[in-house]
Amino acid sequence: MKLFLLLLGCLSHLSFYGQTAKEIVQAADAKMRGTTSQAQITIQTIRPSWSREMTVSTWVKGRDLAMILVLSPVKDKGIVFLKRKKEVWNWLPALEKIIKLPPSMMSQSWMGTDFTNDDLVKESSIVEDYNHSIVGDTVIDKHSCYLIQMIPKPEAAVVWGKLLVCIDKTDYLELHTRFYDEDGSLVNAMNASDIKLMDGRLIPTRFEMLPMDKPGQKTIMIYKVIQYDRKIDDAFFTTEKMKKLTQ
Amino acid sequence: MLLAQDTASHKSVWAFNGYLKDLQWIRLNKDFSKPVATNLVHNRINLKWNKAEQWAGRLEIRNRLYWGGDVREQPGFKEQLRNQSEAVNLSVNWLDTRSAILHSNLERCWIEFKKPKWNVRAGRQRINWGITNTWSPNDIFNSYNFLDFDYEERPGSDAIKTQYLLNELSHLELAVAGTRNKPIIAANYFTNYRQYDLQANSGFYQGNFTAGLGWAGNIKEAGFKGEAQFHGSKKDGLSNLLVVLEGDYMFKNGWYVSTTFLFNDKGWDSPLDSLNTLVFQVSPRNLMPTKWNFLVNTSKEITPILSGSMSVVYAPGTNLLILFPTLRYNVQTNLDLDFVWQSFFASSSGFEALSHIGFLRAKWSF
Repeated sequence: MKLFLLLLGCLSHLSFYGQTAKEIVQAADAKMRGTTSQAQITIQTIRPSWSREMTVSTWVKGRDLAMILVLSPVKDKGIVFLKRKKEVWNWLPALEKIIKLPPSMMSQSWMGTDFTNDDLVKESSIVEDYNHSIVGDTVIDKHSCYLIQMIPKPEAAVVWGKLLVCIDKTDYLELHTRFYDEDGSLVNAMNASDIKLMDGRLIPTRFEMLPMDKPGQKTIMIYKVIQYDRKIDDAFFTTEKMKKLTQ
Repeated sequence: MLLAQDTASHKSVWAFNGYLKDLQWIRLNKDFSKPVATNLVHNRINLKWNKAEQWAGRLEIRNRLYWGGDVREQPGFKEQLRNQSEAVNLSVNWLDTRSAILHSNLERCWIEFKKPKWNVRAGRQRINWGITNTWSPNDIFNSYNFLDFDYEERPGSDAIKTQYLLNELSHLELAVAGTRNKPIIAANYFTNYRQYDLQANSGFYQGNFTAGLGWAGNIKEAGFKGEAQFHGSKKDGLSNLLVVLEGDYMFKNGWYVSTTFLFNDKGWDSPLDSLNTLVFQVSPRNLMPTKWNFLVNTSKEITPILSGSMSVVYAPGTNLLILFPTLRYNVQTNLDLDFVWQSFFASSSGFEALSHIGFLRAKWSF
């Protein structure tokens, strides 16, 4: 459950930070998100002694509208999550019931997977909440990247003390991010890879989140299919359409 | 699937799923003595049919094989296997002995015709008008017992229901359902206004006037829901009012807490003459045997494959207390193991335990 909520948050905020330094980040953000997107994503939760995999279909429009349909595993198949601004609903097909979820479910940090990025589920903009600066260059998998440091603004309610983001100079791809806590310790690292041409856009299709203090533990998100900028009416993101997705 | 919203197939599409569960439980006396063991093998098969954008249908069958002490010793055990909300008997007892019973029931069997603005569904279906989580007074067609955790899909009704979409966020539903008594005829208006889901219903429940309202919204980061339903009666003093208020919140550390209050005007609110008066026979007019009911539920995902929850129900007056902890472990992708406990206490001559039940359940989904 929590994974989907986090994903709802992620998808609509899959803005990965902010050019100059801010403009670079905005470009990366716009590239990954488009005006709308429809995707099929596989999520693998990996632990030292077990792993689980699930597949979802997602529809996203801007920052406010998102829908997730679970395709597998079978016991969760047909479950839908809908986010409209601050409201979140959950459709349970077995008992044909819509449950409205409290907003706090969206904003909590998530225990299960390693996408514990509180910033992603915040309504506030990552671009607005941080001061960005280019602190260097680096090379990741033969891609020449800007190394951008992001420090939260003093008034911003952000859990991280600092982010270090690597964005490809040619195609504006965010390939690596490090999340530091307020004491300056490295908490999480995210790697993006498998760069492919998807629906006319060159994007990374595999994202791996690794918590630094938990060896053998990670979460992998793989985009199987993604389509950008297709028209999706706002009316698609309603509880009525949510029910019909699984019918 | 990806473009499900804008592609229309004209073919018939069939889908099939279900599960096989084994539930073993031990019922204990108030002093944890005289254990009585019962086993249930429980299978559900769901068949789904869609044709083009316009037609849909469902056929769902529930097969249960019980054997053990409760079949022999619990009064009315076999009679309770049929859902109260169903008008027509679509169940079969394949086997019926003193201590074992094999019971099959057609749980859903409906066909639906859909147009963009309206749809009609006829047959055995679930009409879910409830928007709260534990007790739903607005669920006037097919109420359920929250203690029956092994019935995730909940019962259905033999009904015809039509829905008309007024706009993107509002609709009107009209439903008529047969019961073993007089029918239920009611309409429900649903809308979303200022981030609140709002609904109001009115109609006749088995010949008596009924009206209700419900909402689901939030106060800051916490969920805030409620339902109220009035059931009139031609006989003096038999009308009833049910009110539910519910709040829930997810803490940053992953603890989920939900509190629910249920007022059942006709429920018990003083110590019972006999503890046998406390019957959990749920109907839309009577969701709990007691008058004032408080429930606190807390749950936590310990890891993505292990989660626990604890529910405590308390009803002052009768001092009914229910402790209801659960532990769920996902052994493999499609295999779940649940441990559930239910302990009941109440006051008659003095506050005492009534019974305790421990359940162990394995569920394989396919």
